[in-house]
Amino acid sequence: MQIQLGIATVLSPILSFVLIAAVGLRRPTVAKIISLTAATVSLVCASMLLLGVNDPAFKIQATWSWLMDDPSKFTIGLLLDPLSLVMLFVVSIISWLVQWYSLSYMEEDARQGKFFAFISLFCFAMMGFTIAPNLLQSFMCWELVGLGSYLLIGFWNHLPSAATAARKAFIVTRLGDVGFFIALLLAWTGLGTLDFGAMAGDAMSATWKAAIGGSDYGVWISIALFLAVAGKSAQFPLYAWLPDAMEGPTPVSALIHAATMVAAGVYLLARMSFVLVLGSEAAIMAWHGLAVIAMITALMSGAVAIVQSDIKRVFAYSTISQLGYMIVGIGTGAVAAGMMHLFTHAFFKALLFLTAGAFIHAAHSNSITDIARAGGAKLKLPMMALFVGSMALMGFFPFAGFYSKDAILEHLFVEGDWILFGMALLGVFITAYYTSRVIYLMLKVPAEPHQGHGDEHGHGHGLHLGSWMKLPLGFLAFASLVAGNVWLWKAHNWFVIPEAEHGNAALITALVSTAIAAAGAFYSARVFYWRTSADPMASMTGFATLLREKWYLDDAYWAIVHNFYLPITAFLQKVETIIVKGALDGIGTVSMTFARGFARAQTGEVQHYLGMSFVVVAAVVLILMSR
Amino acid sequence: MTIPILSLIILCPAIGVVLLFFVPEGKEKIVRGIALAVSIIAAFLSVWMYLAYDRAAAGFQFIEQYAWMPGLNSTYHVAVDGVGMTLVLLNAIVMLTGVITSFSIDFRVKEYFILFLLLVTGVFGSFICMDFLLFFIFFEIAVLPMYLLIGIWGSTNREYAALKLTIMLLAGSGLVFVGLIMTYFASDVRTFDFITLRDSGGFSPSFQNIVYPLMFLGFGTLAAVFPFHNWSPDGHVAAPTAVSMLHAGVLMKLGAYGVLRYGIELFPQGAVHWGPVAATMAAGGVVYGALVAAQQTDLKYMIGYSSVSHMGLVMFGLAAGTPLAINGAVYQMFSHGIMTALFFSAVGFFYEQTHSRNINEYGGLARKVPWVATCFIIAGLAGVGLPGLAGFPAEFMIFMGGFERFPVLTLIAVPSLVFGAFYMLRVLQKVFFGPEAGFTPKVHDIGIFSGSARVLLAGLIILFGIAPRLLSDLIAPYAMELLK
Repeated sequence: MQIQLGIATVLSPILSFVLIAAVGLRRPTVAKIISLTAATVSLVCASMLLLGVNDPAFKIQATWSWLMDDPSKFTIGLLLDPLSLVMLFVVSIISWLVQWYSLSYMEEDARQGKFFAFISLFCFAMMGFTIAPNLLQSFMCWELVGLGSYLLIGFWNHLPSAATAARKAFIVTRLGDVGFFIALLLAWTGLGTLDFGAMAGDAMSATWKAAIGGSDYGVWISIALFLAVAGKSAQFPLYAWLPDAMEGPTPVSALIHAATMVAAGVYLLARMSFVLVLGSEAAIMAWHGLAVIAMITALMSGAVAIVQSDIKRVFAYSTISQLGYMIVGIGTGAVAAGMMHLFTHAFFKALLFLTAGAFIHAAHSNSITDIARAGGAKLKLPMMALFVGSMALMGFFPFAGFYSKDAILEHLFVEGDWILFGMALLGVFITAYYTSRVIYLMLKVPAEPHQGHGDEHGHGHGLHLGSWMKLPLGFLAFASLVAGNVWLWKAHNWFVIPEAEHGNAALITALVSTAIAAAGAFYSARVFYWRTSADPMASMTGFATLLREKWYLDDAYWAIVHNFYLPITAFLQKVETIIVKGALDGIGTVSMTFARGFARAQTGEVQHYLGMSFVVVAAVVLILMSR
Repeated sequence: MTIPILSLIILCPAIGVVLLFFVPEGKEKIVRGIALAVSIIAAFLSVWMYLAYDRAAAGFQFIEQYAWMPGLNSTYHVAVDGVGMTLVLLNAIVMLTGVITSFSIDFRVKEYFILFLLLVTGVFGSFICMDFLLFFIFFEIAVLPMYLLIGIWGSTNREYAALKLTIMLLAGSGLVFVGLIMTYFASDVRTFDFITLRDSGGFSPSFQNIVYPLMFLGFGTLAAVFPFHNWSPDGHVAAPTAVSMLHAGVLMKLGAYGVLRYGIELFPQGAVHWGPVAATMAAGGVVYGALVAAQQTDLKYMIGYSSVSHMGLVMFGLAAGTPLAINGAVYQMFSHGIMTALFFSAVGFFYEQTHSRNINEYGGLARKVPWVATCFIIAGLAGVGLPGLAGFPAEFMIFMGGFERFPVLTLIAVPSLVFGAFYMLRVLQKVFFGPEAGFTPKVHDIGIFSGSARVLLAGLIILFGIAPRLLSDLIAPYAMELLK
């Protein structure tokens, strides 16, 4: 029964894709009905599956041979366990809400059919990734998810910026995917299997620790996978594609670049976290190293969010930062805490993006100040949603982010990992600072209704909220409030959560982090709302430039491509034309020269031929006589 | 009585050639009709044979053998195994789509189709002939019409390209011919029959080490193995559309097939001995082709260098020689065949209307010709190795199998996944996306008949990407057997 439900969940979106491609590309209504129906089927099935789980040890697996006639090799199938079902639920509910919301958001677009087809394709890939029972299916769906992202970032591909952003996203994440592929190679040759269950078997421990290339399999496979995670989940140094991905339609940003695809790397780490149990000391160190990189990423990107004026980019950098938190949790061994943050973040960040989309749809601008000038603060539901989402993101009690972020902080505290703990608290301050800044700017900048872009579109009297947007915003706001509690209520059915043997740790971290978040929000209010403090960026001009230039990471990419990669290709092109082609042409020229020389001997005059014959005969006679 | 299906398949294009001789000049509709009819029949027979093929068996099937030159122990011996079956299917597909694409040829139509069908006959014959001498004759029949097809119906720099291509290929055949004579006289059995030679040739290891390089370089030149590839992109660019399709789609595969059949199968110890050298050349080609492709502004050159890279993968799989890698290499021959056929078919469609292949002179084509653009993008994504399309199973098996034998070379070749994405997406963005620019407004949408060829190829790319067992089940028994 579960197997059938799982198959229905995953296959209905691809069926939707095929159907829309067949009949819905020029019929928007048909496309919408097909897409929403499929999303509903997925959501219902995924919910039923998750509700049926009452035991962390729950596991059902079914596989079919895919590549060859051998059921033990290179299979595809489903692995239904609490981890995959939680993720499947998140993906299906967010995608349902986003598609519902898109009914309004995309209503003026002539290519809606294509939009819903691409969304369906993405959902299929994402769900296929989620339920993958082995690294092969993970990798395939991981790549297809990237395709969905490419198609949707570049959905408005007549805009050069969108097409460029799509290409950048694909290539940068592909760089990480090379790591994934190498992990496949290593796992197949070293462990002899790609199946998660088989790889996690206790008997594999020695194999994971088998030496290769100066270290062991556990270390190298982990490092190769980290590269993939850094690409997809936008971690240093591969995160710079994500802010540009905001060129896509905002519902896409909410679904792919906030809630699901970018969390795929986190999910992959959770899936592979048995390495922390089976692997060597060195492998565990490698995972800890990843946590450190993620923490640094969280701080770097959080800082950049402070200086962004585009509302989507603020949230994009925030997403990078929050993904860092999740990876910190999993990298240090708190898998359930990391997944909890993934769970709550999916709701509140999707909420924030859809809210941003509501503003952008109404005000026809991405700039926070433009939205405020157009009267964005008068849109009641989006403002409420912005407030709830921001409270959750900043981590205030009783909103969802409070619980999940604290779970990670508490883990670091209990482990005595003071450096990461300190950095995480700094991150809390930064998060509160940039998040509250958005609200203050929205409230503080005066509305100038007559200058809003609304006039051009014929509804000059204030802004307008799409009618299909209300339900998703309302629901996600509710979820951002309660998701943390739902998790605490249900999670013991899903994960083995360590009992609270650490006394007051929970209370201490909760108080400290709340105080720090409050300080961040308060300081931000002094700067942006009351305007009683000077903007700290005004005095730290060097640092501010660094942030505005996004740590020069884009420039570094540019330099690598233009000063390194392209010159190499240009050099090889020269090698090709001068040496490889030149050698062939040279042989041709030389033989033609010889041929002309011989051709000159063909004079047609008998005297010459006779003379030549005489010379040859004489030479032969001489040679014979000399022997 | 069993139906001699292999002979029928060769006869289709051969009869087409003969019939075309009797069609009066100027009756172009009849010429095209005959070409289309024989290719549809050949495609039908190939699919029928594919369905009738016994997947579980490793050896040869559909065997026919008749005396031909008894004095030399050379017979008309045709048969297919998993590899032959795959490539016959590929040739039938490329032939059919190539003929449809060639309907736009309007200059010396009769001669064109005669040469085209002659070439196809040679390719079919080479893939199914199990007699080394007869194989060689078919091989030459396949190679020589290229010279005329490019020289007469070609475009950019056609005389130069045709000459270079022919000389390189003849040089390659020269090496093969020397190898063929040596093989005949060195064997214990004095026969040209492939199966007898393979099973009881009794070639000493030192002989194998000498003759294998002849086969590898001779056939490898046709497969555009690095650094003997330069004729290939020039040839693609100069050739008319459907000839590029045949050239990249099947003729280069003929080279790889020769290396596999008459190199690795006949001289396994030689192949193992020279494996590291062959693998290094192949891996070099994979990376080199992908890097050089990034510099091209001519669409056909871009595809030409991407072919160098993709054929490098085939040769890498062959050089690695593990069952998985061999399976992947043969799979890649098929995938690359339909992929490049689609590429050239689509580019030809644009070129006919604008007489430009310069990437910078296009923009925003996707909105203008959505069908052809979608097909091209599917081919491009398959070239990048995207899962769900036919390139992925092949690349996956080649790298998985190659890593066991040549881990370092595999790690050198794997980044071509990114290099490939780099040049391919650049081209997709420039040509298909962004605002309409340059020649784009001139391009009109494709007709249903002509479009059917492209849609068929795109559909096959998806089909063989989703369900790789359609082919790998045929190839796997062969690859397992080869290792013994």
